[in-house]
Amino acid sequence: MNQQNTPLSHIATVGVDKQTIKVLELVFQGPAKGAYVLVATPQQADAVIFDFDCFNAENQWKTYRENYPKLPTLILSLQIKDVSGTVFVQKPLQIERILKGLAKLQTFQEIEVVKSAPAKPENQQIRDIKLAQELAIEEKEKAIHEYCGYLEDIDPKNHDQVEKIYYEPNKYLQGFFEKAYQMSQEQSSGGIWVEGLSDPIIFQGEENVLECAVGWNEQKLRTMTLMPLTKKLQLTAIDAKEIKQLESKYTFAKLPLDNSLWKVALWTARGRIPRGTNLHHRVVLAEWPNFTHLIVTPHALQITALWSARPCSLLETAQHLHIQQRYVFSLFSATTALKLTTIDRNSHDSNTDFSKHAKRTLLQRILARLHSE
Amino acid sequence: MANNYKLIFTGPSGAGKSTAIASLSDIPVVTTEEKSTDLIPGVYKKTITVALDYGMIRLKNDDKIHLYGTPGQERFNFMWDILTEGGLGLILLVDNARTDPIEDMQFFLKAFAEFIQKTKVVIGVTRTDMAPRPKLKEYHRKLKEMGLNLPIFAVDARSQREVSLLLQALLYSLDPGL
Repeated sequence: MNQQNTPLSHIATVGVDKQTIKVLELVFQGPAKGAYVLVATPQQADAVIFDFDCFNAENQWKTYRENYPKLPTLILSLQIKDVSGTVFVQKPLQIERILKGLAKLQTFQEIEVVKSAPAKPENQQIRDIKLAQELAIEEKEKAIHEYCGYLEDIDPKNHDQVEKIYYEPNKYLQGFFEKAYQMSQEQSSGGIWVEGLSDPIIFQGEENVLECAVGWNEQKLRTMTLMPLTKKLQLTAIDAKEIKQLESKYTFAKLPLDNSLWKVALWTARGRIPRGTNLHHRVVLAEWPNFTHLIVTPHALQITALWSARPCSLLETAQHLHIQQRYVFSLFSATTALKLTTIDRNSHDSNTDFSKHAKRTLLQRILARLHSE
Repeated sequence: MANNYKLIFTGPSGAGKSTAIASLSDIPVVTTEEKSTDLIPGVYKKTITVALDYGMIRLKNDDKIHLYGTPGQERFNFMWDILTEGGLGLILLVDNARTDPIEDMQFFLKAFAEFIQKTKVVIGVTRTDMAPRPKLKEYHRKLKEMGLNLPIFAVDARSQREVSLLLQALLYSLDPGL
């Protein structure tokens, strides 16, 4: 392998955890339409995906680079890594970004064949890093707006303002996804087949898998969530044999089910809440969301911790935590879609003071340290 | 003058305490691992922590957060009380690939009940990629039976982001107003 100017199709991973490798396999088979295959070692590979958040990453990188100095490499990390001659993709991983990154590696390789890139002057490198950082921040802000919208805080006494924060999940794809999710949770095997969309989708609750035919991608799913549905979708319970039959007919990509519904709810709500939600009744948290596998919207952990400590209303939550209401509303819509929160209809705002931890400043310092990583 | 604080990581052998500490620590983790001589069902590590793991987070004002991992073997239980004294909170890691991880969770929650009552606890379930069952739902069910609603996440102890989220959940549980 490693011949220049040939398509980069054999990809090895270094430092990438098993879960991500599984995701990559699915992405390569599904959205990438088999353009890439995973191989066991860099020796067999045309390119490598290197996870810079792995244990002992610096040393692993050093060893890897010593052994394979010219192998095209795509770096994954939560923090921006500007390593010359590599392509960087920031986590959390998104299918589109990985595929774009791999395509970019291909271009790198082609440029390399024509001429070796001259070393950039130091100030140019600094400018590049700054630009990359700015782009990453912009990217992050864009994602936050896609999930939480732009709604300003409302005055609960102003009827017009209050109207703006409501939406009807049942009129959107979210409503059907919620129903399908709920039905799939009650099955011990098989799945729920969503009919009526351009390409089939299967919910498998027991496996926590959403099977999407290759015609679906994240962008298409998001676009679908923004528009009210014009026709009703059919939800059909199917058994394992019928799933096999569909799998032989279509090529499916497997996505984590809870994370997909979570995203669909966030995209649809965009900082709003389902119609009928009383702003003054208390939110009851049934269980903590599995945040390591979900999109963590701004203040999500803090809000959940508050609801876990003591049920309080949506307005009271925003007020007590001094945060914008749309972040509370976003999280509430997502947790409600997954049936992790409910509203206690017999309760009201309590206006009770919350106790402050004796070492609050220290805890804030630790948090700041974790956020800076 | 710099102050010293501590956070405690606990859980059965092989649950990823040493790795989780390494994911957060600013210094190379001091791990006292030895070749395994005890037969521990469901544990396939060649080495186990027989004393304790130690790592450290340095804060900007020079305060230090010492990260201690308790020894996984039960014959070192006597150290747990000493270790937890003055601790800020507890991070419990449970290995989903062990024979009865839910029982493990219950065991450690009971063993550290006094410390948890004074502080807070978060639970990370590791190796869910190797052993997808039991599911988190089942852990939540057991916690409900115990009258608890705790942060419980599936965690890859090698992932700095995931261990950091677990710690953030602990900090916000201690004080949501942070």
